[in-house]
Amino acid sequence: MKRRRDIVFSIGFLSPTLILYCTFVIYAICLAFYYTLTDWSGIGDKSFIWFANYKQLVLDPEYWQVTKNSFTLVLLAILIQNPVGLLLAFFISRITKGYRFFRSAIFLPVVIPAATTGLMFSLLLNNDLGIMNGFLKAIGLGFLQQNWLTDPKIVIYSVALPQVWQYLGIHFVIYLAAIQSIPKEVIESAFIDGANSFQTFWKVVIPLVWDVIQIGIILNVTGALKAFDIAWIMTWGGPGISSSYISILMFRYAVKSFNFSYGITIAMTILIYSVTFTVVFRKIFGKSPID
Amino acid sequence: MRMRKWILVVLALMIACSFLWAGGQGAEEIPTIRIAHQYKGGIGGDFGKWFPDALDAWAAEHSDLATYVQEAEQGDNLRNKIKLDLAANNLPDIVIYWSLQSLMPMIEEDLLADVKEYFAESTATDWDDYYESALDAYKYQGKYYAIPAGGFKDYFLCNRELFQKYGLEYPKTYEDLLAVSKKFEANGIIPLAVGSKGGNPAHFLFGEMYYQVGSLEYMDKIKTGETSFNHPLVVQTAERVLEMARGGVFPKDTIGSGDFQPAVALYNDEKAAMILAQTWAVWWFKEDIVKKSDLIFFPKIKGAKNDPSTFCIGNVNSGWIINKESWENPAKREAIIAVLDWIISDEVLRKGAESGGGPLYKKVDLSGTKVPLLASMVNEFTGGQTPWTNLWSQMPDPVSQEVFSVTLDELWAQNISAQEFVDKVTASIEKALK
Repeated sequence: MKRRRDIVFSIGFLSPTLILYCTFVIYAICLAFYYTLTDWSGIGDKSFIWFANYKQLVLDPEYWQVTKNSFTLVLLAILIQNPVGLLLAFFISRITKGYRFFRSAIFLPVVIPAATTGLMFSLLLNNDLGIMNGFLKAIGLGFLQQNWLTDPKIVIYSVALPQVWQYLGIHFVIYLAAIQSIPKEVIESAFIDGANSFQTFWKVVIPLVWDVIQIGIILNVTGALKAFDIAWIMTWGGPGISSSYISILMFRYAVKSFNFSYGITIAMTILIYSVTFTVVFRKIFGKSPID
Repeated sequence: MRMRKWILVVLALMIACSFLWAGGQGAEEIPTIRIAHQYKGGIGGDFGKWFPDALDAWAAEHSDLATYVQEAEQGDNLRNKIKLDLAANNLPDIVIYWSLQSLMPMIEEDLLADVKEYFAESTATDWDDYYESALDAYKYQGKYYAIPAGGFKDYFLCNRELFQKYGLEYPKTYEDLLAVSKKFEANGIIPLAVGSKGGNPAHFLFGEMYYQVGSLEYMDKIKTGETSFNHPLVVQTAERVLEMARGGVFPKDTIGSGDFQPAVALYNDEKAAMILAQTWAVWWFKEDIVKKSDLIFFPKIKGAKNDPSTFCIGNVNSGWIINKESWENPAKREAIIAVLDWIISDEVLRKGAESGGGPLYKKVDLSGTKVPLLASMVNEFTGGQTPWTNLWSQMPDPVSQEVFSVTLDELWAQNISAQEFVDKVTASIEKALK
């Protein structure tokens, strides 16, 4: 009787969240998948075309170009945000003076609106008005001057690095919390046993926060695959599609070009990549290094 | 404990009932009329600041007719918003939207009312109050799908002081333009503030150059497939653009310095010596800069078939559309007529003219109306020029408009050849026409 009452009680409290989750996530995904099987401009009737949109996608060179751009951002995010975030978290966890200041300063870019970050960097990198090229020339590195926002070979890095910079703070605070949850005695024992800072970091801290690092990497991938705003503000994904991500191509088709079903098909691939990566990654790296 | 539980249950029921009652109250007898426009922030200058408040005031006086709700977004954001509204089957009742080509998806789905019906029922405005050519801009298969609201003309502005400083004459020919650009560029001045971000404002310059050697009649037929965008004169125009880009005529950063407002900002800051701008940009120019500027005709290409002094890029580029479903709803019709009567009234249109808005398509007496300096300069200078439709509006559908715009970015950034540019745009036009 008591158990039944407990179950009813649990269902009662969980049901609002479950209903919202099913409505706005599960149902929305199912509906989106249905739209990908249709030919729909966004107005009027939909005609069922099975997997023709997916076939078009596979054969679309523009799609593969923007996918490459998105994975460039994923790679930069993983290679920069995790090691730098982790190192910063380790150093900041060791200091006592100025701890709050450094923690806030490193996290500050996260709270700047993405539109502001985009505008800031587009002004910085503007060949006509920006200070970047002038600064490089002033310090004798004039040979490094570039067309930051128009050269198709480098524009993707020009829009990706501000994004990596802005969200570094999130990884920092996550790793900081993880490192601070390690018992002090464990770190102290390592030092007593003769380990230096690097050895402590590599052989003690990293294994102990490995689960959190996995979360960090998954957040990198899922976040980077959804990236849109900074690149849009800076270059509208141009010139052409050289700085476009998957989400920008989706926006171009679904909203700007009256081709909703193809746009949603493009968006579906973000979900497919994110889920596939998460499952495979956890399967391969899910085992803790300590085990 | 049990008593407390019952009190809580009764209280929860009372709260739930009050919500239901309040929701029931929302089912009003008077309709809600949603008006989507772009008079927000910097768009429309003083008129853009005045219009939303004036409409709210008018709506308050006519609250017995309907609850009028404004949905304002600037420029492309309005277009994106309306597309999302359409996907949600939630088109506002009255919308200010772009040219006829932009309306085609809505026209094909029979979502728009014939505005001639509005004129037939309105007691405040007459069909003959409008210029026929302007009304025809929204005519399709015998019906009229929008009331012309705005248009534009482009104009070529030069900073007199910068030209005098470097001992240069205003360019009369294409070769002159290349020559003065070299001098300006050597002195750290951007010769011509025309970049390309999303095709803006590049497509106006492209049109100015194409129409000198090509023809409006040829371009008009692109959207029906009778003519092809892939024509030697179009390729030639693209090659000239590349020559100008290589010659440093444009900003170095065609993306970062692209789009309308950044171009005007460069000119206002005297970092650019020349600009090709449009009438909607009139209110962005600083008055002291306008006072030291002169209007000139677009430099002439050698052997041009059409003299650039006789035409400019311009057309009716916005109109008020009426949601057909709303129009056919008897509860909403009177309210729609009333608010449109106000929106296109002489009083409101004069206010727009005072802000320096583009050409008027309604026959309004503007005597005594004071317009900004640049607006009166442009009106006088372009008075003898025939406006020819910009190339973006000639594209058959929104997809090809988008491809045209982004491919112009690549051309301006010198990332593709002239033929590649033409091939990409032609392919999207052909796909649209299939």
